[in-house]
Amino acid sequence: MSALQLSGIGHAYLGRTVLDRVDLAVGEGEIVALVGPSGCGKSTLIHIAADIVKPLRGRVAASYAKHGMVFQEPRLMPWATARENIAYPLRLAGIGRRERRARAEEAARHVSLEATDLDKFPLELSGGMRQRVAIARALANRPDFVYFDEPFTALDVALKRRMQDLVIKSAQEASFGALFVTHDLFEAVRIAHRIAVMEAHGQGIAGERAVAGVPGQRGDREIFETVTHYLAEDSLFRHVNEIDERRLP
Amino acid sequence: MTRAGSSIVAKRLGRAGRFLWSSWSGLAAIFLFSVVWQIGHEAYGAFILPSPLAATAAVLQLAGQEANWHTALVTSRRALEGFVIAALAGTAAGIVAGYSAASIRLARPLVTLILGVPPIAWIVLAMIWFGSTDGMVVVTVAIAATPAAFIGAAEGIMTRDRGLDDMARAFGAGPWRRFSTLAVRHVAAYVFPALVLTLGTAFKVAVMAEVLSNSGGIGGGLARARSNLDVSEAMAWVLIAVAALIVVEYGLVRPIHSELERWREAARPWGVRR
Repeated sequence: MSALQLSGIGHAYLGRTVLDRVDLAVGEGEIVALVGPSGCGKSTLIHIAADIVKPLRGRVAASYAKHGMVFQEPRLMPWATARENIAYPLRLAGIGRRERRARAEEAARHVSLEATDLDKFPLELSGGMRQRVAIARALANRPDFVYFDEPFTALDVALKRRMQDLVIKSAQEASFGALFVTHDLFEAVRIAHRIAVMEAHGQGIAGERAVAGVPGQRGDREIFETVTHYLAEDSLFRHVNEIDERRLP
Repeated sequence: MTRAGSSIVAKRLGRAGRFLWSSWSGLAAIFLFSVVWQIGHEAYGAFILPSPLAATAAVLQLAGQEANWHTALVTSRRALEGFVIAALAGTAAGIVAGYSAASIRLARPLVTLILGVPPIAWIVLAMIWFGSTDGMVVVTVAIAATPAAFIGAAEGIMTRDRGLDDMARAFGAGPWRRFSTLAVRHVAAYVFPALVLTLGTAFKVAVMAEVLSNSGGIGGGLARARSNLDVSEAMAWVLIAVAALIVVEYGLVRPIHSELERWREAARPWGVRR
């Protein structure tokens, strides 16, 4: 049984169709990477799946208990400390102050945040630390499904790698399923069990490829070869990097 | 928990200490002002401009009589009543308007209109409607002070971070929770400076209304001093009105504001802190 089932999703902004007839399923404990060129509607789709945007057409069936989400920007409350930010979903869930504190600290340990940083405000933290806080916040309420919306695009290469490892590790430990939007094929191949490619204009899912091996156990050479193979020989991925962003609406 | 608790107390004490320490610069400003005042006194003589010392002596003399305390309290009460009405009504209306683009479009010209009418005109109108009563002063204060609070709240809601709203939605927050956990904090940063402005307006308009309608309070004292041509007493009443405003602003509004803006302070590098 799948944790998330999107069927016939369609959406339009001010009459301009951005998504049409999108079907996608994510299994329990499975990480699916959703790739596609910029502007193809990936972000809108994940916003619809996470119940932030109501779709015009189609149905979202979620059988997981609760979800968390990591955005492209950290989206932390500037007036709250790292600890309060991590505890925010717990506060929304109506969990008591003491319990909230303990669980926020547990989530912080999980993403290797230092205890001294927990009392700092987001403005006092570096970009990487802020994204760590955002990941801890997504995991604080022990979700069994997590949405990632291009979470590491703004980070430098080394940091990006560390964050990807963090996601792989916590997905295995907490055994949550995930939908991971990215336009970086290397990231997709590193993290996911399966890659879904979106059609360039949001007209459904163009195709899917299961990635061999288990996330976290694939070597760098294997990842590189897989990506090269996809780009050179697999027609499904041809349009992923071939888009002129100047022509996008 | 105890260690974390004591560190919070220590931080809080540190902030309070810094706040108190900053009053030295306030004192310095007051003394600088007194110097200019004294120069003016020496240039124009005691009848036009009594010396700061004479005015202070007059304040002390006024303060010695219990009836005058009551007078000052009357004005403060009126100003604060008007201020509270203005703050509540203005903020509430501003929040509603901020959420609906249509009503802010309707409200903007209205606010300009209300701001355009000088407070003195409201005083005359309120005198006609209510006579020279307590209510007249309060109503005038409320009308004159509401627009600032309204604009502040509306701006706050309109500039709220939609990204944070989406984040809260992703974690299952309904409209009320989004308002109470995110919008309120954001709006506060806009409303507080507006409230400081509103408070100043409230005291000024209250005194003005009292002078004009001779309905007691500090303004009544001023009006009496004017008819007796007692300049130092008039000065003393002005000083008392300013002192009342300063007490409310630095004792109440500023501490709350700095508590809300703690995070901005935290991001400031050392040496830039006040």
